[in-house]
Formats: sequence, C-alpha cells, structure tokens
Amino acid sequence: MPNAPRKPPVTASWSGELLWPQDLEDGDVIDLSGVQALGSWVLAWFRTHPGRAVTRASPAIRRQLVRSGVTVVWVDPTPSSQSGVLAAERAMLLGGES
Amino acid sequence: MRLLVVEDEGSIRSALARGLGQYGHRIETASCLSEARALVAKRHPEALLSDLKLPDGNGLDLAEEIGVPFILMTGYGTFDDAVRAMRLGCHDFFTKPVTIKEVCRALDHLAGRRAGGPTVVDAAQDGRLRLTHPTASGFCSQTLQSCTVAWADAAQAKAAFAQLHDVVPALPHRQVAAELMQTTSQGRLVVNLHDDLWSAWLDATVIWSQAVDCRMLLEDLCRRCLWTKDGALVEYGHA
Repeated sequence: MPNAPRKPPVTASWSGELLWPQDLEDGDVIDLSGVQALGSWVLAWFRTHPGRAVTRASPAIRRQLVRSGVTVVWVDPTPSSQSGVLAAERAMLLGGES
Repeated sequence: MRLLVVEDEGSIRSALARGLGQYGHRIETASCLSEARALVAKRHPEALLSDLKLPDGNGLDLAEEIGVPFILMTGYGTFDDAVRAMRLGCHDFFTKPVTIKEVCRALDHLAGRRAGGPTVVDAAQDGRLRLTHPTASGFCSQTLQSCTVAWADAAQAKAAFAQLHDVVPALPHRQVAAELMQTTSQGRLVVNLHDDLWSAWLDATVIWSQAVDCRMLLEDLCRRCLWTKDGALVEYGHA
C-alpha cells in the first residue's frame, strides 16, 4: 500500500515581548526569531506542548529554554551558503526517515 | 560612622582604612575573624565592611554574629554567596577590586537608611524627585522615579502592569515585574528607579506552586535578590 503523502511541517512565528499569557499560534516548528522575551508562562506552554521544534531563538531565549528543561527539538537554520537538503532537514521533514 | 574593616590582605586593608577615613569614618581594622571579634567587644562598630573569605572563617558568619549593617567584598563571589549575603541583610556586595568611591556611596546609603532622618525632596523638571539624605559624612543625593501599582486579580495585574511602562523602560526590569505580578493573587508593587539602580518592593503573597520557572527567571534577571526565610521574594534590584 503506498504511503500517504506527508504534510509539510507547519511553522508558527512568535514575536515581541511574551511577558503575559496570550493565545499562541501552534505549529510543528516554532520560529522564535522575533521574540524579545519569554515569560515563564511560555515555559508552561512548552510543557503542555512537548516535542515542538524550535528555531532561530536568540542566545538569551535559547539559554532560558535550555535552563528550564522544557522538551523541545532544536532546529538550526540552514546556512545560506549550502545548497540542497541537509540530513537534519530531511529528518525533520520526513519524521526521522533517511 | 564607626566602621570595622576586616580584610586579610594588608595593602587593601590599609588603603580602605586610609581612603574611608578621609571621608570622615572612624575606622578599625582587623585581618581575621579572631581580631575582628576582639575589636567588636571593645569598639562596638556601627557597621562592618568585610572580605568574604578570611584566613580563619567567613565574613558572612562574622556579620551574622555581630548583627550590625554590613557590606561584603570578595574576589571570588558567586551568585549563591550574594543571595546568602542578602538573606542575612547584607547592604551591598562588591566583587573586588572595589573603589573607595563605591564603598563610600554604599556606606552613605547605609547611613541614610539607618538614620531614617529628614529627606529633602526637590521636584526635577522631568517629574522625577531628587532626594537628599543627611549622612554621617555629608549628604547623599538620589534621583528617584517611583510608581506604585496594586491589583486584586490576574486581569487587574495585567492592567496595572501597563502603568509601569514609563517607569520601567528596560526589558529585563519589565520582565521581572511581569513575572512577580503573575505569581500573586493580589498585591502591590512599588518600583523605584533612582540614578542607575532600579529596585522594587513587592507586598503580596506569591503563589509558589506557579512560580518555579518564575523564580529561576528572576534569579537570572536580577543581580540582587533578597528572599525571606519562608521563601517569599521581598526585594530585588537590577543595576
């Protein structure tokens, strides 16, 4: 039986100072490039939404997430000088198949 | 002010004694805990300036024994040392090298706090207040901008937070305020911005079951934290 076509991962982009609880867009990948600050309520969000892929966080935000121990998968953006599909991209897109 | 300086390194000890003496303080010096204890019994110092690590013990232990306002210095200070010092009522905590000017400024603040004397208040043109406290060695002047907000539930806390925006311009400060206000059922927060020091007083019951991440974040964001013995955050500052 042929495999059903995989849906591309949904990327949610968050931005601003996330200091107070608000509705957050969910996605397979969370782009944190526009986020200036994360309140601890966001850490609680990650605990209730485990396994999200997180990308483009600033060093401070990354440190905060790592230190909090929330379960996220770090996805580093592809360097622009490289072409083609990297193994990590392929793994993310295809759910671990290579 | 009668000040006991405890420092094991002779050159630093004599420089502090000479420099602080020029600002009008009466200085007694000791190089270790045993010397310090002997001087305390004879001279009854009003304040203590001590190195953290001494040949025969720890400056924090001495401060706890003496029970006078104290300032600590250390060459190898850790955040945990600073938190313990603040818990014991340490007025200020310096990582060496320290300057005479820095220590004098801390002593002036300490003296002003002890005296609780009259304060001269001038309104500056930008709406801030200039406070002048009489101290042992002259006057201590601060520019103060203050804001008090109160809330009775989460919705009010968020609305009250918006009022802080003008007084708390820097993001780490706003983040600390937001974290504190979210982990309380009701309360009052007083935020002061004076010269280069931002400080706040929280009058509230913190819901610690909701505050695990908050507490960690506060420790990340704050250079100074003061916790009561039962774990409530009562004062913090961020230079």
